[in-house]
Amino acid sequence: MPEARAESLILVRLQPFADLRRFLAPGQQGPLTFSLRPGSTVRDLIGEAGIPLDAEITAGINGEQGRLESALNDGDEVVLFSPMEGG
Amino acid sequence: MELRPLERFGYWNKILHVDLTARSVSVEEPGDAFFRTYGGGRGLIGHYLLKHVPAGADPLGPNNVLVLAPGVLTGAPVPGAGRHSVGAKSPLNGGFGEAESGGFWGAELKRAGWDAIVVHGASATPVYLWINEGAVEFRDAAHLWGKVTGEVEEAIQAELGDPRIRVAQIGPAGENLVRFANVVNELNEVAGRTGMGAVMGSKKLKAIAVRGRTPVKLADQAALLAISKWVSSTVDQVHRGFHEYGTGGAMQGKSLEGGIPAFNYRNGSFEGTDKVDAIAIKDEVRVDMTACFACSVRCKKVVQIEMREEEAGVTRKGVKIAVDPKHRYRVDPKYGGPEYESLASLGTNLGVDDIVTVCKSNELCNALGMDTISAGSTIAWAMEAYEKGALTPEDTDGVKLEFRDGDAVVEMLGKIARREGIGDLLAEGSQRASEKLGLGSDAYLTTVKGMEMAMHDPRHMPVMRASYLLAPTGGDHMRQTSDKNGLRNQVGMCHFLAYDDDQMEQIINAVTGWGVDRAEMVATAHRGLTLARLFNMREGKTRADDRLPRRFFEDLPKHKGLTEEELAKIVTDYYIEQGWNPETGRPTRETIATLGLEADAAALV
Repeated sequence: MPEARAESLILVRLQPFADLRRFLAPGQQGPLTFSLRPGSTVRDLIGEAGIPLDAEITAGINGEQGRLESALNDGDEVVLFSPMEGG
Repeated sequence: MELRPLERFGYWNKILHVDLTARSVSVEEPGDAFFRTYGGGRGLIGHYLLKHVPAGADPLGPNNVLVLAPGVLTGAPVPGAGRHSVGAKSPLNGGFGEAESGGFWGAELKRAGWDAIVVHGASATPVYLWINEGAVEFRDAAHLWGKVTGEVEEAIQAELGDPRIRVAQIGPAGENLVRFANVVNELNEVAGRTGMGAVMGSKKLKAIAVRGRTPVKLADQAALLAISKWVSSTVDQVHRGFHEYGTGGAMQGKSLEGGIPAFNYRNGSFEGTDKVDAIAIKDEVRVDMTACFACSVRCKKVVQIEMREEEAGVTRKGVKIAVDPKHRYRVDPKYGGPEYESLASLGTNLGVDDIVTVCKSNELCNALGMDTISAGSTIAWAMEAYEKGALTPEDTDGVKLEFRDGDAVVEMLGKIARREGIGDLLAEGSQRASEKLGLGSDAYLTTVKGMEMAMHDPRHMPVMRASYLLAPTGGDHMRQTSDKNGLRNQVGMCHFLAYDDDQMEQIINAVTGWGVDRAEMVATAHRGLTLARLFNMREGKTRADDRLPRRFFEDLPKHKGLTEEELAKIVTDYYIEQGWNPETGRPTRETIATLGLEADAAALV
């Protein structure tokens, strides 16, 4: 009898930077780990994290610039920045 | 009808005029309408420059005036209300000079019973002012001349016998008339841009020491307290980035997006960004965070580096002190630490990934009294000139002025402050240095109206285009050009406090009791910007000066260069929005009348 097999999820780590850290719980430092369905995008990940998409966001995936529509793979490290800050 | 003093809130109706030539002072009481009209800060600066500085005056001559102007909010116990502006005709941009600072000095001046200081003339010998509430004294500064800011603050507090005296001062760079010298208070707060320190140095005014003990009067203390409580109880949500890192927490994001200044604004990304950003600062060299007057956001970094392990150890708060792995430099924590602009202008834009030299460079700028942005960008220009052979090792006294070399940056900063060797050329700022050097070196300038642009690339960030094109001071990144943002520079409110329009209105009314509405807030800011425009036009600036340098017409790897057409549209749209002539940008008669600026505008001829 075939084993019941759950669709395998991917594990992705998310680190928001600078003022995007306001979406972390108080005292929480990150990175946060999420299990997502394969084929999930950066947009999906941001939604999972409860970060509203109207915040101006730059996403990096494993050190390279990513887009909101970029598909994620197991083990990806995603960073999020809001580029507008600082004087 | 004049309000009786008892009914006046937020301001005192007292402007201190200091005549350094005659060594005399006088007090102006301009009346309540004056403060409601100008707000303070940029508004007062525009008013007094038009009134007292003759057209075409030498910015480094005795006919320039130096204005130190808090705002009506400054000194009120609410986060962000600790700002003051310093203004004069600028020796860097030849027009409207204005720089804003935080910390405590502005609040102390208000607590001493003064709304602003206007300094006229020039002293024959080094002098400092001692403002002890209502008493004003001229004190000899010969023994302070030539000393760095840290020594001077300590000496003044000691000789006047009070460690709580606040000092605004120039360093050796201001004394030597470095065109981008700044005015430093509390050793890590600076009125940085446009060379206000050189103006102060040309007047031989070393410092202004202030002690005040009278709280600013408030119309509605309870309302103000409610807003203060909102800030402190929501820091984690609303101001978290600044509270944890200060500025510079998003530099890796900028680099990822291909928009960080790198190698004199050429590359857009820099592999060493994560070594010199605010996160690296926090992880490796930061020992504390400090705050400005009344503020719970607490966004100012303090760094400390020792040369050797034996000298390091831990701070009183138990934080491990960093050591320079190459044993070259000590960085004193009394000079605070680098903000974003400095991390970029002394770091990424020079290709430097050495956190120690970036911190040392920032410390030197605070100790010697120089704007980190103009100093760093002038060095960036010089490094490109060296790379292209326009400057040779002979010109640079043997210093290899190469990108990536943080030690060369440290050495250059000292030379610039002392106008030594090549430092004498660079002390003029990159634009004048380029005019002297020739050899096509103007091709890689990053100046607008003679002032180096700050560390946000307009090719990457569209909102910066209007800022750099149209700021009255030139290459200024603070996006003050809208009538909304412009208000903060007049009332003395910090830009980092995320107050919305409602809250700003509440704060102004809680402090002053004026009952302002949105329209009046917009008009006041509009007035400040129009005054600055009037001054600039009087000093010969035209639409031709509202342009960006050629470097920004070049493509970045990830962003296209700008075009004349798109920039021209931004300029024209702005003129129309401001009620200025759409071709020339001259404020129209109607606009001047609407804003009640006829008297100020009469000084145009």
